[in-house]
Amino acid sequence: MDKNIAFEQNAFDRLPPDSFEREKIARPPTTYAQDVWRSFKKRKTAVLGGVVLILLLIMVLIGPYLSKYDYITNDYTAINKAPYGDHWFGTDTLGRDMWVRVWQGGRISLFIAVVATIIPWAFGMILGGLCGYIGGKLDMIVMRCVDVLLGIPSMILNILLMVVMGAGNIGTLIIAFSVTGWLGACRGTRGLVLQLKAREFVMASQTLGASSSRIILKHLLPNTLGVTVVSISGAIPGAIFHEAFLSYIGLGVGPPNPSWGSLIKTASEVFKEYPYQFAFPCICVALTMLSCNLLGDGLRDALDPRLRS
Amino acid sequence: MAEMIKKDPVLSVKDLKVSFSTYAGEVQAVRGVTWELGREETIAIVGESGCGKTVSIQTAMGLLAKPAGRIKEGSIIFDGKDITNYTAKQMRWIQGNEMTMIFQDPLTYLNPTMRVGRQIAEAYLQHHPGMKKKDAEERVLEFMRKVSLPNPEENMRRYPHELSGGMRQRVMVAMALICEPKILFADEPTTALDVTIQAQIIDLMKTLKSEISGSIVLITHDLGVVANMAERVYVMYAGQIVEHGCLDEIFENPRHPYTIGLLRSVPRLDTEDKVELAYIPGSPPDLLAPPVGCAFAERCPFAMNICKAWQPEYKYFDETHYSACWLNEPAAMEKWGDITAKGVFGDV
Amino acid sequence: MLRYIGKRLVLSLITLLVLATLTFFLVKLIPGNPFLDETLPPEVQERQAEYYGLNKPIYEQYFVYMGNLLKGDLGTSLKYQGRLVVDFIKEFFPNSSKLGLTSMIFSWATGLLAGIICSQFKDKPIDYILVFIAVLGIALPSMVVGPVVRYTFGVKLGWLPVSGLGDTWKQFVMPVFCMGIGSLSGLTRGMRATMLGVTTEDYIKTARSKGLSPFQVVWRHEIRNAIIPMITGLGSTIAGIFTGSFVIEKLFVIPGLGKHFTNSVTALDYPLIMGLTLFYGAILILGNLLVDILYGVVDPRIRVS
Repeated sequence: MDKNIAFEQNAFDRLPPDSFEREKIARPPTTYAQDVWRSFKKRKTAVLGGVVLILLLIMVLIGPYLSKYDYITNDYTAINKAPYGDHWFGTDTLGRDMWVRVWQGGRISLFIAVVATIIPWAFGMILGGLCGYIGGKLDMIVMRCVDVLLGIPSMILNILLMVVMGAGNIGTLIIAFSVTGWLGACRGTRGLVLQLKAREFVMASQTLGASSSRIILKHLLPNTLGVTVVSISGAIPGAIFHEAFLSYIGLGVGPPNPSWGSLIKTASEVFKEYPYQFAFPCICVALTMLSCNLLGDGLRDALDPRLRS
Repeated sequence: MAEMIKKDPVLSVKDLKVSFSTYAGEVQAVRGVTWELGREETIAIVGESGCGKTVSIQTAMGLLAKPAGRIKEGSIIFDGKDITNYTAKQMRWIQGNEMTMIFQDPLTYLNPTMRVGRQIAEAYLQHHPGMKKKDAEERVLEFMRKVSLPNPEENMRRYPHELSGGMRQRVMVAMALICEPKILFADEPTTALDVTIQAQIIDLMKTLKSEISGSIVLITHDLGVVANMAERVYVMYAGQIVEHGCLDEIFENPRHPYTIGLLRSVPRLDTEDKVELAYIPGSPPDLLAPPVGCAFAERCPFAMNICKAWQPEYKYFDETHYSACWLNEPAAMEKWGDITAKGVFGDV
Repeated sequence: MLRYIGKRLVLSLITLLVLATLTFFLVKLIPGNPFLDETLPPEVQERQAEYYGLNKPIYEQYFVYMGNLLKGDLGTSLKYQGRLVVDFIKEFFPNSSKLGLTSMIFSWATGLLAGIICSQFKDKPIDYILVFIAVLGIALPSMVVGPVVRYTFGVKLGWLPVSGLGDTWKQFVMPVFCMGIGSLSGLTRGMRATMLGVTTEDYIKTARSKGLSPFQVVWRHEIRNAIIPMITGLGSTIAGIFTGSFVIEKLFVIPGLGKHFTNSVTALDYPLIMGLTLFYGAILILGNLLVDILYGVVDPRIRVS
């Protein structure tokens, strides 16, 4: 033993009671949202996805106004022109300005994708949440129906509905997507609510006499939100893809309205001669799907505390 | 009690330091521990979760998660060979053959999609190349009988989830003993089991240990299991060994406030006086930046100025019994009396 | 296990019944009489109407329709007069299924392998490269990849034939790639994630403590457990391959069912659209049933519950 210590004065006196407290570094308390935001910022690809998505959204909103052309008027003097002069993206087979058509198409594609995702999701979540929370007969009947309907491939049902309702209409597309879209949300939310209901903090709050509305608002909703955001960010590129696919086989948005899918379809027929007509809508679709996926991945990691490292 | 320290230990760990590099910095999980395991001996390493007991045996067995975890200092001598710097390939011959491990939760530690018979045979086949399948199966059945698994022929074709918790732990024991290892590490082997089954598993391990003449390193925070199985006890706190002694030295005459705290937090039925169950306030220090002085000082009801500034060294009370605490220093004893000697039921 | 299969089977049959019923009533919503070709002479139209029971009350029509379905009669094409939908399936589905199965095998084999490679070299360049390709693959639908690949390797470079199927294996390369790339990418990412998840499981520690080499641990313990959750995705792979075939078969001029389906939509050949939709639906429901059974076979935990 070091002799110096042994003879140091007061070495064997009791420590003052608070001698460790002062050294503790106080970490400022962070809210869940701050925590999520911080870990989201760390994922560069997700941030990039978000930025690209916002840029695309801005272009889709203001793009058509930047050009002096509109998306319907044919101009037979300028058919199939490569990008030149005022036609920044060139013109199509009917001489319509591609720049305006691409952004207008984006408006329609994104509108369909977002609306046809949000509406059925909201419906499915509410129904699924009720089923999970109330249980009993309602739950049994709804879930049996969902089981059967989920068995029918959504693409098949979409095609059927579009054939019956008639293609070419934005409204029918949204209806068709909604009919199939709520099923997954319903089943997912129900499972989540059942899981949460069995968790200690919900049980504790129930035992303490919290009302149903309090349990739903304070416990169930915030805890399902994360999963929902992630699922929606995955469902939106899916809807974009489905819209493009339906437009491609001729069941989507009809002329003269453009959508990214129908633009790709039209352009792929003249792909060899005028590749630029094909390239612009393709790049837009690819960028949107890519950013949605990157953003979704980032959100999933950020919202799930267990995945943070 | 001196004869309990064996002249020729099967495993000796000297001044082992293990660190993990994490995003926040270097976590010093094990900070210089020294322990020995004699042949056919059972020792116990006790301490709270996160005190480094699991890391130190994982290191000894060469199962440290690389590259995050690494040995910074110290040596591990197994059976007379220095295995500290063995390559992963060299260690593989020892793992599962001469050193084996039983884990805490038999359900999560068994592969859910592999029949238990195959899982038991796996280590044996691995270390006996060229073994015929028929012979390996015989061996599996033999060990399943040894661990008293009912209907071994039938159960070896079952999957883990089809067995009960106790049966699964018997599978784990059979799996660990099939190569007749020199050392069996048991990491909280009874924690996840029902109380009635705990005793069965302990008995089983004791019987089989003498049958195959192996040694056991028991890691647990259950002092009841320690009293039942171990001959010597190492008490670990914050990556260091704070006290060591034979079973009765630790239980009857603990010399470190942490050991005393641990013992006081065990409910006892064998005393007449009603002793209030104590707990140790606070939580272990952050091993990212371990304290300069005694790591336990912050939670110690007797902490002195010196405890905060300097780490205590080991003081021997007997040939086997030592502890690292400033309270056992003559100067402290002079001032405060022999605090630790008051032991488990003394006033605090 | 038998109970599990039985339950799935019943559910699939109900789903099929619902799909058929839904199809029937939805078609009834189409204004006019979509099943009759108005250009035909009235007496022919009448004969057809009688055959399909179109002049009977709706519930009777339903039973006639379901009866026809049970007999395997999916109706008659309008555009190709007198041709049964079933004949289309018989003639063109073999080509589609050949292409589809090849794409499926290609995407599963490559996707799982790539996922395993990524998980073993996590955060190394090869991982980044493969994940990057996979993310791109998910973002690029077959109608984007198809024309580009066809033009580059078929037209411009002339390495591969741009149309047809069955004359040479080279005709398979581009369609299979274009149809498989989407699910391949999804599988790569999925397998990577599940492999990384399995690596941290407790039983992997047990396996390592037995002295197994890293390769043995991965091969014997990790891959099987990582593939199990992937199998649920097999159903969506099948669906993805079908939707892909609608685009790709048209693009590469492959005499398959997908091409005829796309054409029938353009031609508004309702009986053909409905018949083929029902057929595709049945195939996918059947596929899902097989996937469920396969899941039960691979995961021993399913068998008891």
